[in-house]
Amino acid sequence: MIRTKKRTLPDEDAELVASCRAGDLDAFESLVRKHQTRMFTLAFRVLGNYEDAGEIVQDAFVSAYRNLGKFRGDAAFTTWLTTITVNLARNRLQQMVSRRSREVCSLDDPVPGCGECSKSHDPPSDRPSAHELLEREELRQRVQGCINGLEPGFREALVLRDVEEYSYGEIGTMLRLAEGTVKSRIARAREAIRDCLKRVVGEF
Amino acid sequence: MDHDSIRHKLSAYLDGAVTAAEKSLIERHLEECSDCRNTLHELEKTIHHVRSLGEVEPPPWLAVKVMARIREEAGRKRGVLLRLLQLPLRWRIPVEAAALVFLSVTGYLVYRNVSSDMTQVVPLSGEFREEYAPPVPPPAASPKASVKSSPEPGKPSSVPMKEKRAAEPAPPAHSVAPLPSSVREDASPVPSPPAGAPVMAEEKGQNFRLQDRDDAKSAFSADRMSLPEQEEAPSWTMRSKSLPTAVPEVLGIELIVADPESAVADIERATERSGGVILRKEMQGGRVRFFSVRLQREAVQGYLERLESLGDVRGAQSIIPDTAAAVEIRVTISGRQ
Repeated sequence: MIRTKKRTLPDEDAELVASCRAGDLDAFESLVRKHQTRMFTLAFRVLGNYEDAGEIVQDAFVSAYRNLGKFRGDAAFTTWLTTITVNLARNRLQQMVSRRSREVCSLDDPVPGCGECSKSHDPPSDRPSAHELLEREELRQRVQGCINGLEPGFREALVLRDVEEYSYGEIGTMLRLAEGTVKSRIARAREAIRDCLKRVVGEF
Repeated sequence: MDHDSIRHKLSAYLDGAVTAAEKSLIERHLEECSDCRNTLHELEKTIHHVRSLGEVEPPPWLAVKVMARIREEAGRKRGVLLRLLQLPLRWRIPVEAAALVFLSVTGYLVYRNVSSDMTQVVPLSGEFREEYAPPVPPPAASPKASVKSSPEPGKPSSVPMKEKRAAEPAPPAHSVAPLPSSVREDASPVPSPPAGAPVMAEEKGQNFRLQDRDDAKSAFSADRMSLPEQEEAPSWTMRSKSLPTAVPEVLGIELIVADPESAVADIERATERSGGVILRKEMQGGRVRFFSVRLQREAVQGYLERLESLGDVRGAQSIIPDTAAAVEIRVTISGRQ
Protein backbone atom coordinates (compact mmCIF):
# COMPACT_ATOMS: atom_id res chain seq x y z
CA MET A 1 0.00 0.00 0.00
CA ILE A 2 2.69 2.47 0.89
CA ARG A 3 5.39 3.29 -1.60
CA THR A 4 8.33 5.56 -1.57
CA LYS A 5 7.63 8.61 -3.66
CA LYS A 6 9.93 9.48 -6.52
CA ARG A 7 10.05 12.76 -8.36
CA THR A 8 10.10 12.61 -12.15
CA LEU A 9 12.78 14.48 -14.04
CA PRO A 10 11.39 17.33 -16.17
CA ASP A 11 12.11 15.84 -19.55
CA GLU A 12 11.72 12.21 -18.67
CA ASP A 13 8.38 11.83 -20.44
CA ALA A 14 9.12 13.94 -23.50
CA GLU A 15 9.57 10.96 -25.79
CA LEU A 16 6.38 9.24 -24.69
CA VAL A 17 4.46 12.48 -25.01
CA ALA A 18 5.74 12.93 -28.57
CA SER A 19 4.63 9.40 -29.44
CA CYS A 20 1.18 10.09 -27.96
CA ARG A 21 0.87 13.16 -30.12
CA ALA A 22 1.62 10.99 -33.13
CA GLY A 23 -1.37 8.83 -32.17
CA ASP A 24 0.44 6.08 -30.28
CA LEU A 25 -2.04 4.96 -27.64
CA ASP A 26 0.40 2.46 -26.20
CA ALA A 27 2.69 5.34 -25.35
CA PHE A 28 -0.14 7.04 -23.51
CA GLU A 29 -0.86 3.82 -21.65
CA SER A 30 2.77 3.81 -20.56
CA LEU A 31 2.31 7.31 -19.17
CA VAL A 32 -0.86 6.25 -17.36
CA ARG A 33 0.81 3.26 -15.76
CA LYS A 34 3.83 5.30 -14.84
CA HIS A 35 1.99 8.17 -13.15
CA GLN A 36 -1.23 6.64 -11.92
CA THR A 37 0.07 5.96 -8.40
CA ARG A 38 1.35 9.46 -7.93
CA MET A 39 -1.81 11.05 -9.28
CA PHE A 40 -3.99 8.72 -7.24
CA THR A 41 -2.06 9.55 -4.09
CA LEU A 42 -2.44 13.25 -4.76
CA ALA A 43 -6.18 12.93 -5.39
CA PHE A 44 -6.67 10.69 -2.37
CA ARG A 45 -4.75 13.04 -0.04
CA VAL A 46 -6.84 16.00 -1.21
CA LEU A 47 -10.20 14.24 -1.28
CA GLY A 48 -9.71 11.69 1.50
CA ASN A 49 -11.90 9.23 -0.39
CA TYR A 50 -10.77 6.23 -2.39
CA GLU A 51 -13.66 6.13 -4.88
CA ASP A 52 -13.66 9.83 -5.57
CA ALA A 53 -9.91 9.74 -6.08
CA GLY A 54 -10.31 6.93 -8.64
CA GLU A 55 -12.87 8.91 -10.61
CA ILE A 56 -10.83 12.07 -10.52
CA VAL A 57 -7.68 10.35 -11.73
CA GLN A 58 -9.59 8.78 -14.62
CA ASP A 59 -10.98 12.15 -15.58
CA ALA A 60 -7.54 13.73 -15.27
CA PHE A 61 -5.91 11.26 -17.66
CA VAL A 62 -8.74 11.57 -20.18
CA SER A 63 -8.53 15.34 -19.95
CA ALA A 64 -4.75 15.17 -20.43
CA TYR A 65 -5.23 13.01 -23.52
CA ARG A 66 -7.74 15.44 -25.00
CA ASN A 67 -5.55 18.44 -24.32
CA LEU A 68 -2.21 16.95 -25.21
CA GLY A 69 -2.01 19.38 -28.11
CA LYS A 70 -2.02 22.28 -25.65
CA PHE A 71 0.87 20.90 -23.63
CA ARG A 72 3.82 23.00 -24.74
CA GLY A 73 6.50 21.31 -22.71
CA ASP A 74 7.39 24.44 -20.74
CA ALA A 75 7.08 22.41 -17.56
CA ALA A 76 7.49 18.69 -17.01
CA PHE A 77 4.64 16.47 -18.12
CA THR A 78 4.13 15.38 -14.51
CA THR A 79 3.71 19.00 -13.40
CA TRP A 80 1.14 19.54 -16.11
CA LEU A 81 -0.66 16.32 -15.21
CA THR A 82 -0.53 17.22 -11.52
CA THR A 83 -2.09 20.60 -12.30
CA ILE A 84 -4.99 18.91 -14.06
CA THR A 85 -5.46 16.38 -11.29
CA VAL A 86 -5.27 18.83 -8.40
CA ASN A 87 -7.72 21.22 -10.04
CA LEU A 88 -10.20 18.46 -10.76
CA ALA A 89 -9.80 17.28 -7.17
CA ARG A 90 -10.32 20.81 -5.87
CA ASN A 91 -13.52 21.18 -7.88
CA ARG A 92 -14.78 17.84 -6.61
CA LEU A 93 -13.87 18.80 -3.06
CA GLN A 94 -15.80 22.03 -3.32
CA GLN A 95 -18.82 20.12 -4.57
CA MET A 96 -18.51 17.65 -1.72
CA VAL A 97 -18.17 20.41 0.83
CA SER A 98 -21.12 22.36 -0.49
CA ARG A 99 -23.22 19.20 -0.35
CA ARG A 100 -22.33 18.44 3.19
CA SER A 101 -23.72 20.22 6.11
CA ARG A 102 -20.62 21.18 7.91
CA GLU A 103 -19.60 23.04 10.98
CA VAL A 104 -19.08 26.70 10.25
CA CYS A 105 -15.47 27.19 9.32
CA SER A 106 -14.16 30.22 7.51
CA LEU A 107 -10.91 30.68 5.66
CA ASP A 108 -10.34 33.62 7.95
CA ASP A 109 -10.56 31.52 11.09
CA PRO A 110 -7.27 31.32 12.93
CA VAL A 111 -7.48 27.54 12.61
CA PRO A 112 -8.81 26.37 9.27
CA GLY A 113 -9.09 22.76 10.34
CA CYS A 114 -12.31 21.70 11.97
CA GLY A 115 -14.97 19.08 11.96
CA GLU A 116 -13.72 15.75 10.82
CA CYS A 117 -10.50 15.43 12.78
CA SER A 118 -11.90 16.77 16.00
CA LYS A 119 -15.15 14.85 15.67
CA SER A 120 -13.97 11.49 14.51
CA HIS A 121 -10.67 11.34 16.31
CA ASP A 122 -11.28 12.17 19.90
CA PRO A 123 -8.14 11.85 21.97
CA PRO A 124 -8.01 8.35 23.39
CA SER A 125 -7.72 8.16 27.09
CA ASP A 126 -4.87 5.71 27.01
CA ARG A 127 -2.79 7.07 24.20
CA PRO A 128 0.36 5.50 22.84
CA SER A 129 3.17 7.91 22.11
CA ALA A 130 3.58 9.45 18.68
CA HIS A 131 6.80 7.59 18.20
CA GLU A 132 5.03 4.25 18.72
CA LEU A 133 2.31 5.16 16.27
CA LEU A 134 4.60 6.63 13.65
CA GLU A 135 5.05 3.55 11.55
CA ARG A 136 1.53 2.32 12.07
CA GLU A 137 -1.37 2.63 9.79
CA GLU A 138 -3.46 4.14 12.53
CA LEU A 139 -1.25 7.18 12.75
CA ARG A 140 -1.38 7.65 9.00
CA GLN A 141 -5.14 7.44 9.12
CA ARG A 142 -5.22 10.10 11.81
CA VAL A 143 -2.93 12.36 9.85
CA GLN A 144 -5.15 11.91 6.81
CA GLY A 145 -8.14 12.61 9.03
CA CYS A 146 -6.52 15.89 10.04
CA ILE A 147 -5.92 16.78 6.40
CA ASN A 148 -9.55 15.95 5.66
CA GLY A 149 -10.51 18.46 8.32
CA LEU A 150 -8.82 21.30 6.45
CA GLU A 151 -10.87 23.68 4.38
CA PRO A 152 -10.65 23.43 0.59
CA GLY A 153 -7.90 25.77 -0.54
CA PHE A 154 -5.67 24.76 2.36
CA ARG A 155 -5.68 21.06 1.59
CA GLU A 156 -4.38 21.30 -1.97
CA ALA A 157 -1.65 23.71 -0.96
CA LEU A 158 -0.49 21.49 1.91
CA VAL A 159 -0.58 18.29 -0.16
CA LEU A 160 1.27 19.85 -3.08
CA ARG A 161 3.96 21.12 -0.70
CA ASP A 162 4.35 18.37 1.88
CA VAL A 163 3.27 15.31 -0.08
CA GLU A 164 4.31 16.25 -3.63
CA GLU A 165 7.12 18.58 -2.54
CA TYR A 166 6.49 21.28 -5.11
CA SER A 167 7.95 24.74 -4.55
CA TYR A 168 5.81 27.71 -3.55
CA GLY A 169 6.19 29.15 -7.03
CA GLU A 170 5.06 25.93 -8.73
CA ILE A 171 2.09 25.63 -6.40
CA GLY A 172 1.13 29.22 -7.12
CA THR A 173 1.19 28.48 -10.83
CA MET A 174 -0.82 25.30 -10.46
CA LEU A 175 -3.49 26.78 -8.23
CA ARG A 176 -3.35 30.24 -9.82
CA LEU A 177 -2.49 31.89 -6.54
CA ALA A 178 0.04 34.51 -5.56
CA GLU A 179 3.13 33.07 -3.94
CA GLY A 180 2.42 35.00 -0.75
CA THR A 181 -1.03 33.45 -0.55
CA VAL A 182 0.44 29.99 -1.04
CA LYS A 183 2.96 30.61 1.72
CA SER A 184 0.29 31.85 4.08
CA ARG A 185 -2.06 28.97 3.35
CA ILE A 186 0.63 26.36 3.85
CA ALA A 187 1.68 27.96 7.15
CA ARG A 188 -1.88 28.01 8.46
CA ALA A 189 -2.56 24.48 7.20
CA ARG A 190 0.51 23.16 9.00
CA GLU A 191 -0.52 24.88 12.21
CA ALA A 192 -3.99 23.38 11.89
CA ILE A 193 -2.58 19.90 11.30
CA ARG A 194 -0.29 20.35 14.28
CA ASP A 195 -3.19 21.33 16.52
CA CYS A 196 -5.27 18.47 15.16
CA LEU A 197 -2.48 15.94 15.75
CA LYS A 198 -2.08 17.22 19.29
CA ARG A 199 -5.71 16.44 19.85
CA VAL A 200 -5.81 13.01 18.17
CA VAL A 201 -2.35 11.73 19.03
CA GLY A 202 -1.69 13.50 22.26
CA GLU A 203 1.95 13.82 23.12
CA PHE A 204 3.63 15.51 20.20
CA MET B 1 9.77 41.81 13.27
CA ASP B 2 7.90 41.06 16.44
CA HIS B 3 7.29 37.67 18.03
CA ASP B 4 3.98 36.96 16.20
CA SER B 5 5.35 37.89 12.79
CA ILE B 6 8.32 35.64 13.32
CA ARG B 7 6.12 32.79 14.51
CA HIS B 8 4.04 33.02 11.34
CA LYS B 9 7.17 32.92 9.21
CA LEU B 10 8.50 29.74 10.79
CA SER B 11 6.74 27.55 8.23
CA ALA B 12 8.35 29.38 5.31
CA TYR B 13 11.63 29.41 7.22
CA LEU B 14 11.57 25.61 7.36
CA ASP B 15 11.12 25.55 3.58
CA GLY B 16 13.92 28.00 3.01
CA ALA B 17 11.43 30.44 1.55
CA VAL B 18 12.52 33.56 3.42
CA THR B 19 14.98 36.27 2.49
CA ALA B 20 18.45 36.32 3.96
CA ALA B 21 17.52 39.29 6.18
CA GLU B 22 14.40 37.53 7.45
CA LYS B 23 16.39 34.39 8.06
CA SER B 24 18.93 36.14 10.28
CA LEU B 25 16.16 37.94 12.20
CA ILE B 26 14.28 34.68 12.75
CA GLU B 27 17.39 32.83 13.88
CA ARG B 28 18.31 35.62 16.31
CA HIS B 29 14.78 35.53 17.72
CA LEU B 30 14.80 31.73 18.03
CA GLU B 31 17.88 31.92 20.21
CA GLU B 32 15.97 34.10 22.65
CA CYS B 33 12.40 32.72 22.36
CA SER B 34 11.76 29.20 23.65
CA ASP B 35 8.09 29.42 22.63
CA CYS B 36 9.06 29.93 18.99
CA ARG B 37 11.68 27.17 19.23
CA ASN B 38 8.94 24.86 20.44
CA THR B 39 6.64 25.92 17.65
CA LEU B 40 9.38 25.30 15.10
CA HIS B 41 9.93 21.84 16.50
CA GLU B 42 6.22 21.02 16.32
CA LEU B 43 6.01 22.22 12.76
CA GLU B 44 8.99 20.08 11.79
CA LYS B 45 7.27 17.07 13.28
CA THR B 46 4.00 17.91 11.54
CA ILE B 47 5.71 18.11 8.16
CA HIS B 48 7.46 14.86 8.89
CA HIS B 49 4.15 13.14 9.66
CA VAL B 50 2.54 14.39 6.48
CA ARG B 51 5.54 13.42 4.36
CA SER B 52 5.55 10.00 5.98
CA LEU B 53 2.11 9.27 4.65
CA GLY B 54 3.64 7.76 1.52
CA GLU B 55 1.92 6.80 -1.68
CA VAL B 56 -1.42 5.09 -2.00
CA GLU B 57 -1.76 2.20 -4.40
CA PRO B 58 -4.51 2.92 -6.95
CA PRO B 59 -7.14 0.30 -7.70
CA PRO B 60 -5.88 -2.28 -10.22
CA TRP B 61 -8.59 -1.42 -12.73
CA LEU B 62 -7.68 2.24 -12.93
CA ALA B 63 -5.30 2.12 -15.91
CA VAL B 64 -7.59 -0.31 -17.74
CA LYS B 65 -10.59 1.98 -17.32
CA VAL B 66 -8.63 5.05 -18.34
CA MET B 67 -7.37 3.37 -21.48
CA ALA B 68 -10.81 2.02 -22.36
CA ARG B 69 -12.18 5.56 -22.27
CA ILE B 70 -9.26 6.89 -24.28
CA ARG B 71 -9.44 4.17 -26.93
CA GLU B 72 -13.16 4.82 -27.28
CA GLU B 73 -12.49 8.52 -27.73
CA ALA B 74 -9.71 7.89 -30.21
CA GLY B 75 -12.01 5.54 -32.12
CA ARG B 76 -14.68 8.24 -32.38
CA LYS B 77 -12.11 10.65 -33.74
CA ARG B 78 -11.00 8.27 -36.44
CA GLY B 79 -14.51 8.09 -37.77
CA VAL B 80 -16.77 5.42 -39.11
CA LEU B 81 -15.28 5.26 -42.61
CA LEU B 82 -11.78 4.73 -41.39
CA ARG B 83 -12.94 2.00 -39.07
CA LEU B 84 -14.75 0.38 -41.96
CA LEU B 85 -11.54 0.33 -43.94
CA GLN B 86 -9.80 -1.34 -41.08
CA LEU B 87 -12.32 -4.16 -40.87
CA PRO B 88 -11.01 -7.60 -41.71
CA LEU B 89 -11.67 -8.74 -45.27
CA ARG B 90 -14.29 -11.28 -44.27
CA TRP B 91 -16.45 -8.40 -42.98
CA ARG B 92 -15.45 -5.74 -45.43
CA ILE B 93 -16.36 -7.63 -48.62
CA PRO B 94 -20.01 -8.28 -47.66
CA VAL B 95 -20.43 -4.69 -46.48
CA GLU B 96 -19.01 -3.30 -49.69
CA ALA B 97 -21.07 -5.70 -51.80
CA ALA B 98 -24.26 -4.67 -49.99
CA ALA B 99 -23.43 -1.02 -50.54
CA LEU B 100 -22.84 -1.65 -54.25
CA VAL B 101 -26.17 -3.45 -54.64
CA PHE B 102 -27.96 -0.67 -52.78
CA LEU B 103 -26.45 2.01 -54.97
CA SER B 104 -27.23 0.09 -58.16
CA VAL B 105 -30.88 -0.46 -57.24
CA THR B 106 -31.31 3.13 -56.15
CA GLY B 107 -29.71 4.39 -59.35
CA TYR B 108 -31.91 2.18 -61.50
CA LEU B 109 -35.09 3.29 -59.72
CA VAL B 110 -34.17 6.93 -60.03
CA TYR B 111 -33.40 6.48 -63.73
CA ARG B 112 -36.72 4.75 -64.31
CA ASN B 113 -38.72 7.48 -62.62
CA VAL B 114 -36.94 10.29 -64.36
CA SER B 115 -37.13 8.74 -67.81
CA SER B 116 -40.87 7.99 -67.48
CA ASP B 117 -41.48 11.63 -66.59
CA MET B 118 -39.62 12.83 -69.60
CA THR B 119 -41.40 10.59 -72.08
CA GLN B 120 -44.82 11.73 -70.93
CA VAL B 121 -44.25 15.43 -70.76
CA VAL B 122 -43.68 16.12 -74.44
CA PRO B 123 -46.84 14.78 -76.09
CA LEU B 124 -49.12 16.14 -73.41
CA SER B 125 -48.00 19.71 -73.47
CA GLY B 126 -49.61 20.57 -76.79
CA GLU B 127 -53.02 19.39 -75.80
CA PHE B 128 -53.36 21.74 -72.94
CA ARG B 129 -52.01 24.69 -74.73
CA GLU B 130 -54.71 24.12 -77.26
CA GLU B 131 -57.36 24.51 -74.62
CA TYR B 132 -56.72 28.20 -74.70
CA ALA B 133 -57.36 28.49 -78.38
CA PRO B 134 -61.12 28.22 -78.31
CA PRO B 135 -62.87 28.17 -81.66
CA VAL B 136 -66.03 29.68 -80.19
CA PRO B 137 -66.64 32.83 -78.21
CA PRO B 138 -66.55 32.62 -74.44
CA PRO B 139 -69.69 32.51 -72.36
CA ALA B 140 -71.41 35.78 -71.78
CA ALA B 141 -69.79 36.51 -68.50
CA SER B 142 -68.87 40.01 -67.59
CA PRO B 143 -65.22 40.33 -68.58
CA LYS B 144 -64.63 42.91 -65.93
CA ALA B 145 -65.88 40.69 -63.15
CA SER B 146 -64.01 37.69 -64.43
CA VAL B 147 -60.73 39.49 -64.71
CA LYS B 148 -60.90 40.76 -61.21
CA SER B 149 -61.73 37.40 -59.79
CA SER B 150 -59.21 36.02 -57.41
CA PRO B 151 -59.03 32.40 -56.36
CA GLU B 152 -62.24 31.64 -54.52
CA PRO B 153 -62.33 28.00 -53.64
CA GLY B 154 -65.89 28.17 -52.46
CA LYS B 155 -67.18 29.32 -55.79
CA PRO B 156 -68.80 26.34 -57.49
CA SER B 157 -68.96 27.86 -60.96
CA SER B 158 -65.31 27.27 -61.65
CA VAL B 159 -65.77 23.52 -61.55
CA PRO B 160 -68.26 23.00 -64.34
CA MET B 161 -66.60 25.69 -66.38
CA LYS B 162 -63.41 23.82 -66.31
CA GLU B 163 -65.11 20.56 -67.18
CA LYS B 164 -66.75 22.26 -70.05
CA ARG B 165 -63.53 23.64 -71.40
CA ALA B 166 -62.20 20.32 -72.48
CA ALA B 167 -65.09 19.38 -74.71
CA GLU B 168 -66.07 22.86 -75.68
CA PRO B 169 -62.97 24.83 -75.19
CA ALA B 170 -64.28 28.28 -74.46
CA PRO B 171 -61.92 29.53 -71.81
CA PRO B 172 -63.62 31.17 -68.87
CA ALA B 173 -61.39 34.00 -67.94
CA HIS B 174 -61.62 33.51 -64.23
CA SER B 175 -60.15 30.04 -64.47
CA VAL B 176 -56.85 31.63 -65.33
CA ALA B 177 -55.83 32.19 -61.84
CA PRO B 178 -52.88 34.35 -60.94
CA LEU B 179 -50.05 32.06 -60.11
CA PRO B 180 -47.11 32.39 -57.83
CA SER B 181 -44.41 34.33 -59.58
CA SER B 182 -42.01 31.44 -59.43
CA VAL B 183 -44.33 29.29 -61.47
CA ARG B 184 -44.80 32.01 -64.03
CA GLU B 185 -41.12 32.58 -64.40
CA ASP B 186 -40.48 28.93 -64.97
CA ALA B 187 -43.24 28.40 -67.40
CA SER B 188 -43.44 31.46 -69.58
CA PRO B 189 -40.86 31.86 -72.30
CA VAL B 190 -42.68 34.79 -73.93
CA PRO B 191 -42.86 38.40 -72.78
CA SER B 192 -46.41 38.02 -71.56
CA PRO B 193 -46.16 36.17 -68.28
CA PRO B 194 -49.71 36.80 -67.07
CA ALA B 195 -51.29 35.13 -70.04
CA GLY B 196 -48.81 32.40 -70.85
CA ALA B 197 -47.94 31.24 -67.42
CA PRO B 198 -51.18 29.67 -66.32
CA VAL B 199 -51.25 27.51 -69.37
CA MET B 200 -47.85 26.11 -68.79
CA ALA B 201 -48.47 25.73 -65.13
CA GLU B 202 -51.54 23.73 -65.80
CA GLU B 203 -49.57 21.52 -68.08
CA LYS B 204 -47.39 20.68 -65.17
CA GLY B 205 -50.36 19.70 -63.11
CA GLN B 206 -52.00 17.72 -65.86
CA ASN B 207 -48.84 15.90 -66.58
CA PHE B 208 -48.97 14.40 -63.14
CA ARG B 209 -52.60 13.53 -63.48
CA LEU B 210 -52.05 11.54 -66.63
CA GLN B 211 -49.17 9.51 -65.40
CA ASP B 212 -50.03 5.94 -64.73
CA ARG B 213 -48.15 5.85 -61.47
CA ASP B 214 -48.97 5.20 -57.87
CA ASP B 215 -47.75 8.56 -56.77
CA ALA B 216 -49.73 10.46 -59.37
CA LYS B 217 -52.51 11.15 -56.93
CA SER B 218 -50.31 12.64 -54.29
CA ALA B 219 -48.37 14.67 -56.81
CA PHE B 220 -51.61 16.01 -58.14
CA SER B 221 -52.76 16.93 -54.67
CA ALA B 222 -49.59 18.84 -54.10
CA ASP B 223 -50.05 20.61 -57.38
CA ARG B 224 -53.60 21.59 -56.49
CA MET B 225 -52.39 23.26 -53.37
CA SER B 226 -50.52 25.79 -55.42
CA LEU B 227 -53.29 26.12 -57.98
CA PRO B 228 -56.52 26.32 -56.02
CA GLU B 229 -58.60 27.21 -59.06
CA GLN B 230 -57.68 24.08 -60.88
CA GLU B 231 -59.51 21.63 -58.73
CA GLU B 232 -61.81 18.89 -59.93
CA ALA B 233 -59.65 17.81 -62.78
CA PRO B 234 -61.54 16.62 -65.80
CA SER B 235 -60.88 13.14 -66.97
CA TRP B 236 -57.95 12.83 -69.24
CA THR B 237 -59.89 10.87 -71.78
CA MET B 238 -61.87 13.97 -72.59
CA ARG B 239 -58.71 15.94 -73.05
CA SER B 240 -57.21 13.41 -75.35
CA LYS B 241 -59.30 14.81 -78.19
CA SER B 242 -56.25 16.32 -79.68
CA LEU B 243 -56.38 19.87 -81.07
CA PRO B 244 -53.82 21.68 -83.18
CA THR B 245 -50.63 22.15 -81.29
CA ALA B 246 -50.29 25.81 -81.98
CA VAL B 247 -49.13 28.12 -79.25
CA PRO B 248 -51.01 31.37 -78.76
CA GLU B 249 -49.02 34.17 -80.28
CA VAL B 250 -48.39 37.22 -78.21
CA LEU B 251 -48.81 40.56 -79.77
CA GLY B 252 -48.02 43.80 -78.08
CA ILE B 253 -49.76 46.98 -79.11
CA GLU B 254 -50.10 50.43 -77.72
CA LEU B 255 -53.36 52.36 -77.76
CA ILE B 256 -52.99 56.10 -77.48
CA VAL B 257 -56.19 57.79 -76.36
CA ALA B 258 -57.23 61.24 -75.17
CA ASP B 259 -58.77 59.93 -71.97
CA PRO B 260 -57.15 56.70 -70.76
CA GLU B 261 -59.64 56.24 -67.94
CA SER B 262 -62.73 56.19 -70.08
CA ALA B 263 -60.91 54.08 -72.67
CA VAL B 264 -60.83 51.13 -70.26
CA ALA B 265 -64.55 50.50 -70.53
CA ASP B 266 -64.36 50.95 -74.30
CA ILE B 267 -61.60 48.37 -74.60
CA GLU B 268 -63.58 45.92 -72.50
CA ARG B 269 -66.53 46.38 -74.74
CA ALA B 270 -64.43 46.03 -77.91
CA THR B 271 -62.93 42.82 -76.53
CA GLU B 272 -66.29 41.39 -75.73
CA ARG B 273 -67.66 42.21 -79.19
CA SER B 274 -64.65 40.59 -80.84
CA GLY B 275 -65.28 37.39 -78.93
CA GLY B 276 -62.14 37.84 -76.89
CA VAL B 277 -61.43 37.27 -73.26
CA ILE B 278 -59.64 39.64 -70.97
CA LEU B 279 -57.10 37.51 -69.20
CA ARG B 280 -55.62 40.15 -67.00
CA LYS B 281 -55.65 43.79 -66.25
CA GLU B 282 -52.73 45.53 -64.65
CA MET B 283 -52.77 48.77 -62.76
CA GLN B 284 -50.10 51.39 -62.91
CA GLY B 285 -50.19 54.84 -61.40
CA GLY B 286 -53.70 54.28 -59.97
CA ARG B 287 -55.34 53.37 -63.27
CA VAL B 288 -55.59 50.44 -65.62
CA ARG B 289 -52.55 50.56 -67.84
CA PHE B 290 -52.35 47.12 -69.48
CA PHE B 291 -54.81 44.54 -70.78
CA SER B 292 -53.99 40.99 -71.72
CA VAL B 293 -56.61 39.79 -74.16
CA ARG B 294 -57.05 36.43 -75.85
CA LEU B 295 -58.67 36.32 -79.26
CA GLN B 296 -59.27 33.93 -82.07
CA ARG B 297 -56.82 34.58 -84.88
CA GLU B 298 -59.58 35.54 -87.31
CA ALA B 299 -61.02 38.01 -84.84
CA VAL B 300 -57.80 39.98 -84.43
CA GLN B 301 -58.26 42.19 -87.42
CA GLY B 302 -61.75 43.27 -86.34
CA TYR B 303 -60.52 43.88 -82.83
CA LEU B 304 -57.72 46.14 -84.01
CA GLU B 305 -60.17 48.11 -86.06
CA ARG B 306 -62.36 48.61 -83.04
CA LEU B 307 -59.39 49.82 -81.08
CA GLU B 308 -58.43 52.18 -83.85
CA SER B 309 -61.85 53.77 -83.46
CA LEU B 310 -60.90 54.55 -79.85
CA GLY B 311 -57.50 56.07 -80.56
CA ASP B 312 -54.16 55.56 -82.27
CA VAL B 313 -52.94 51.98 -82.36
CA ARG B 314 -49.21 51.33 -82.60
CA GLY B 315 -47.48 48.00 -83.13
CA ALA B 316 -50.41 46.31 -84.86
CA GLN B 317 -48.38 45.61 -87.96
CA SER B 318 -46.86 42.49 -86.42
CA ILE B 319 -47.43 39.44 -88.54
CA ILE B 320 -49.40 36.64 -87.00
CA PRO B 321 -48.18 33.20 -88.13
CA ASP B 322 -50.68 30.86 -89.72
CA THR B 323 -50.13 28.24 -87.08
CA ALA B 324 -51.53 30.42 -84.36
CA ALA B 325 -55.13 29.50 -83.66
CA ALA B 326 -55.36 31.99 -80.85
CA VAL B 327 -53.64 35.25 -80.19
CA GLU B 328 -52.89 37.05 -77.00
CA ILE B 329 -52.73 40.76 -77.26
CA ARG B 330 -51.16 42.93 -74.67
CA VAL B 331 -52.73 46.34 -74.91
CA THR B 332 -50.90 49.23 -73.33
CA ILE B 333 -53.08 52.29 -72.79
CA SER B 334 -51.30 55.61 -73.08
CA GLY B 335 -52.65 59.09 -72.78
CA ARG B 336 -52.24 61.45 -75.67
CA GLN B 337 -49.65 64.13 -74.89
